[in-house]
Amino acid sequence: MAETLYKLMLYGFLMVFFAGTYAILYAIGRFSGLPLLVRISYSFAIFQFLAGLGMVFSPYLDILWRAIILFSVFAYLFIPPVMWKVVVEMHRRHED
Amino acid sequence: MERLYESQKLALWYFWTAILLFGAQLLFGLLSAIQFINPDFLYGILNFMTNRMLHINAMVVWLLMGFIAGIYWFLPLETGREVVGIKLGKLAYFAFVGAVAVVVLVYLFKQFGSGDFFTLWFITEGREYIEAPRWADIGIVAVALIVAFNVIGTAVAARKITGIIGVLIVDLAFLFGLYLAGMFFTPNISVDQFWWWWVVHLWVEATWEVLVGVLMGWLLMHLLGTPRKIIEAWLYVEVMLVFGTGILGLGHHYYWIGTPEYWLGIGGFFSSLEPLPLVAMVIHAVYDAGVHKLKTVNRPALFWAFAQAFGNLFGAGVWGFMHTLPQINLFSHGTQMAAAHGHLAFFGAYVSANLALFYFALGKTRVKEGYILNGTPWKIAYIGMIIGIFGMVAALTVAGFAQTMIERATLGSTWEAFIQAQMHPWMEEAFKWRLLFGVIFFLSYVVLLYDLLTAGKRVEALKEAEVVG
Repeated sequence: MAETLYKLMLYGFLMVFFAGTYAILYAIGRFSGLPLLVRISYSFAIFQFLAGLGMVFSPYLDILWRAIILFSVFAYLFIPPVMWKVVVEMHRRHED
Repeated sequence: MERLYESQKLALWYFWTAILLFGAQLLFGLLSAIQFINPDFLYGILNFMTNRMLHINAMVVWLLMGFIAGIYWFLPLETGREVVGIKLGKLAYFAFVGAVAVVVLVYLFKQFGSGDFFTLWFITEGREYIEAPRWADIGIVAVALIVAFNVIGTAVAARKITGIIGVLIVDLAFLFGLYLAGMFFTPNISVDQFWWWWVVHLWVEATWEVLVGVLMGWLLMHLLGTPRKIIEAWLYVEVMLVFGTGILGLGHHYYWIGTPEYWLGIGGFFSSLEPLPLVAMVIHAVYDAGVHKLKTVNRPALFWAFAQAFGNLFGAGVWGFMHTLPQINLFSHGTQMAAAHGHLAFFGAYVSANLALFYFALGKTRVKEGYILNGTPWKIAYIGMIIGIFGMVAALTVAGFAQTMIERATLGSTWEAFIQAQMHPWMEEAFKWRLLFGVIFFLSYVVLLYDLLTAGKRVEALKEAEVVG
C-alpha cells in the first residue's frame, strides 16, 4: 500500500508540475517568437500526459477516478494554447 | 509625489501593522519549528500549542489587514473621491488592532480555559485555525462590514460601480457572511465540522482568492497600465474558474467528517480541476511580463506580483493536487504533507500579493515620480524568502511522505504509529532542515523590513549626493 501511495503522490506532483512547466515555456516561447522553446514545451506536455497515465494505470483507483484523471490529462494538453489564444484575443480586441 | 487621500493614509497604517504582524507570525513559527525538534524548549512557559496557534492566527490577521489596506488604497483611485466612511474606517482600524493585541495577550498569558461559555467568549473558541474568542469573531465581522459599507457607500456616492468594484462588493458579502459559519456550534460533530470547513477552506480559498484577484487587477492597472477592459474580463474569468472549481472542490474535505459518500466523487473531481485556472493565470502573467519587458518604475512590486502568479500555481496547484485525490488523502490528510501545501500556497497566493501591494504603496509615498524603486535589499529579501519557503516546503514534503507511508499506510494510524513516524530519521532530519530554512526566511524578512523602512529614502539620499557631488 505504501508503495502504491508513494507512486500515486509522485505521479500527481509530476503531472501538475509538468503541466505548469509546459504552460510557462509555451507562453514564453510564443511571446518571444522562439519555436524551439515552444517545441520543448510540448515535451513537458508529453511528460505531464505520461505522469497522468501513471495514475490512470494504478490498480488502486477505480474506473471513475481513472476517467477523471484521464480527462484532466487531456485538458492540460490544450489549456496553454487555448489560454494563449484567449489572452492574445483579449489584448487584440482592446487594441482594436 | 502624489497627494494621498485619507483612505490611503489609513491603508498605510494597515500595511505597517500587517508587516509587523508578519514578523510575529514568523517568530512564533520559528519557536514552533524548534519545538518540533526539542519538545522541551520553553515547555510550560510558551507551549507548542500556543506558538502554533499564534503562528497561524497572526498569518490570517496580517494577510486580512493587508487586503483591507489594498482596498483602502485603491478605492479612492477607482472612484475618484474620498472614502465616505473614513472616520468609521479609522475607528475600525483601532478596534481591530486593539482586539488583536488583547487576544494575543490572552493567548500568551492565559492559554487555557475550562470549556465553558466564558472560555468560548473571552479566551478561545478552541476550534483549530479559528481559535479567536467569540467577541473577537464579532469584531472581525464588524470590521469586514465597515469595509463593505465603505466600498458600497463610496461607489454609490461617486455614482461609479465598475466591474472590479462589482466583484469586490459581492466578494465582501461572502467575506463576512462565510465567517459567520465558524461562530456557532452543533452537538453533531459532522455538522459542526461541515460549517468549520466553510471558514477554514471556503472563506480562505474562495473569498480571499477573488479578493486577491481584485487587488492584483488594480495593481496591474496602476503598475503596468494594463487596460481596464482586459483586467475586468480576466477577473470575470478568474471568478468563474475559482468559484467553479473551488466551491465544490471543498467537498474533498467533507468525506472525512462523516458526510454522505457522494462528496468523495464531487470533491475529488472539482479538486482535480482546481489547478486548471492556476495554469491559465500563469499564461497571462507571462504575457504581461513579455509585453512590458519587466520594465516599470517599481520593480519589487512587479516581481512580487509575478511571484504571486507562479507561487499560486506551485503552492495551490502542484502541492495541492499531489494529495488531493481522496484515495491518497485518506492517508495523507492532516500530515506534514498538508503543512507543505499550506505553507507554499499561502506564500504564493497571499503573502506575495500583499508584498506587491505594499511596495506599490511605498513607490507612491516615498519616491518622486520618475525615480526607480530599486536597490539591493529587496532582491536579497525576495530571493531569500523564495529559497526559504521552498526549502521549508521541501523539508515538510519529505516529512509528509514519511508520515503518510510509515504512520498511515504501513502502521495503521495508531498512536504508536504516530510516535514511530515522528522518531523516524526522515522526519527528524526534515524538521531540522525546516528550521534551517525557516531561519533563512526570517532573516530575509529582517532584510525586507529594512528595505521597507528605508526604500526610497536611500534613493533620495543617493540622488542628493550625486547632485551635490
